[in-house]
Amino acid sequence: MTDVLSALQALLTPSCLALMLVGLVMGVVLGAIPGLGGGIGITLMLPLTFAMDSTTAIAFLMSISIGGISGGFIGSVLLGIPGDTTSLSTVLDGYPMTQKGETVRALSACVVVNYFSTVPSIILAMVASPLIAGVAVKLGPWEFFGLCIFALSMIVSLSKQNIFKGMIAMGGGFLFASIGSDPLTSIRRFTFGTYELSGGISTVSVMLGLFAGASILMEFARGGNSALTEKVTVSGFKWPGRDLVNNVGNILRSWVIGAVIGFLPGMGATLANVVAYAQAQSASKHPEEFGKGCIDGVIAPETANNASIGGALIPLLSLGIPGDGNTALLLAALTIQGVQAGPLMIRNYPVLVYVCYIAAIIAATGVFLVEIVGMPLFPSFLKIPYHYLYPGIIAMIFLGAFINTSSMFGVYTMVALALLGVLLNFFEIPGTPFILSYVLGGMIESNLRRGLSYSDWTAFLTRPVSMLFIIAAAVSIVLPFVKPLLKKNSSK
Amino acid sequence: MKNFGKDRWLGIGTLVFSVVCIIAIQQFPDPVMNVTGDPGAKLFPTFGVILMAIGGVGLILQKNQGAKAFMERAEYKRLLLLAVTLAVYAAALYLVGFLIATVVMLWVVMGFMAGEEKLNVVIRVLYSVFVTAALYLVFTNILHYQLPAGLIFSLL
Repeated sequence: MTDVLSALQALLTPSCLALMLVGLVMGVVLGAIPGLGGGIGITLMLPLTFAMDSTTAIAFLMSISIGGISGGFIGSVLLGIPGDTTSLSTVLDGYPMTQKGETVRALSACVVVNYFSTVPSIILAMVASPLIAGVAVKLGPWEFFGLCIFALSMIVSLSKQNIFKGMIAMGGGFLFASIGSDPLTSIRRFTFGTYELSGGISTVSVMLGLFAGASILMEFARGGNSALTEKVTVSGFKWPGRDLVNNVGNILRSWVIGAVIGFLPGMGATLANVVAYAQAQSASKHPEEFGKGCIDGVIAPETANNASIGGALIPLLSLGIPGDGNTALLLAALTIQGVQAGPLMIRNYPVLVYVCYIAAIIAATGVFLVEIVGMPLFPSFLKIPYHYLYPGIIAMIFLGAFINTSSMFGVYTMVALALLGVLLNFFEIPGTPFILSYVLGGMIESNLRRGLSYSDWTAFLTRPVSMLFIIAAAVSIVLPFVKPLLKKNSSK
Repeated sequence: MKNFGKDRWLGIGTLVFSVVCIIAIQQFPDPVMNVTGDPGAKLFPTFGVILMAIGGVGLILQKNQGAKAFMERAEYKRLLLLAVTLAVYAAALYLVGFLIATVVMLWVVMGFMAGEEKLNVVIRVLYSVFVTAALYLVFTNILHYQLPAGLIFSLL
């Protein structure tokens, strides 16, 4: 209880609350604009947090993250293009509702279900994280290695269109994580004799280049002057009471889907959004109405993507494993603040852990209020001309890269990584396995090598928990290949 | 050759890259002190290379799935234009420092982004100067960071 009060005391200061307000508004606006998203907001602001204390930094970034995930529906409903991938399926019924003149109904439902799915998911994280961390402190390097491999295998298996490209991305992430001094013996790897590379490539440079820089290059190349060109007006918020009552089962189901998928490492809000929509359609009494502007098809994905916020916090805070891209950035922020996320975090930094939860609840509440009050302004977010928006973002990206390393080397690295990001897009290599294997690479290597130092390699297969994770990893990689064969045989 | 497929080229490129990486990994020095049982610094990057190589072989062997064009010719030109601008901005930051390089970059990129739309020159100048000044003040005065001063000015 003392920790909760200390966290509240740290958060409820005028400066921290003001920064959170700035962060959540920024998140909502960036989340609404197709091609940007809250992830870019966190990436851009990450270098700014170097100068902040850990409480303010986490509260600020958490606000951007929650605002970004929530704001994604604005582009989906008004424009027919998701502002963020986390609102991918919201388009399917959200935009047809706008075409039918039910914009306010769709937007109001999104605002409300976003809030009422985020807060319980964070409460779930508050309850579940200490329990999982309590178990995790008893695990050794063998189990952690197995867990990380399992997390990555799930990400790769998601690259359904091409699992080989997922493997290339994962291998590339490992190679990037290998650059610099190795964690046990400090042998320099891939440094090409340069001093700057001996510390490895910083997470901030990787995120700024691969996420933000590449997105700006691609968006500019594909043209367009602003997201919204048509005249769309939105009146004020209307409480969607009847829609909520008619969708109680849908909301509960989607919330469970979101929380579970958010918890699974590497999955995140995007998958939750897609799966919840599919489940809502298959469970619906009127599935034929889906895709034509059905409110159920808006409520389900928007409940699930926000429910995944709390779900994704559980592996981050209890195991040190990011659930998705946004939590990978939060993990980077914690590392920058000198905090090691993982099972010992709850014991060593209890106040900061509660800061994460309480900041998330305050941010969700702030997003809820801002979206209710600011709903008539939603179309203007999408009308911001790109020629005002993007040049400023470019300057911020360069500044972030410079500040991060205090040298021009960070800037050159970021530019090179932005070009690499375009190349990944060209070959349709998924970015998420690359980023997450890069982030988890250090943890995997040190656990693998520590495990091998304490015993031989058979320990990874003989210790039950480790073996379970490794078998699960193998199954999730092999399953996408075997499943079609099994289906083929059964149809014969 | 046209039907060979983008993915197969990626597969071949990945395999070549994997071979280069394996050669580079073999050049890593041995540790001064051995930790008992530690497989060494070469194991983890080798693991990454093997994954990439498997992916590359898979892409070469799998059926050509065909691919839609990544971008139109005009889009490639725009991509190249901005990529070159970013590279020049990086060099300009080093040579002339944050203030001059950023004002010029903002002015130029605004023009690119506006496309055929004619922007008011005064607004363009004000935007470039205001954004640069705001960033400079926030980062130097509030956050106390040092921004690139420019090689030329440090030599003067």
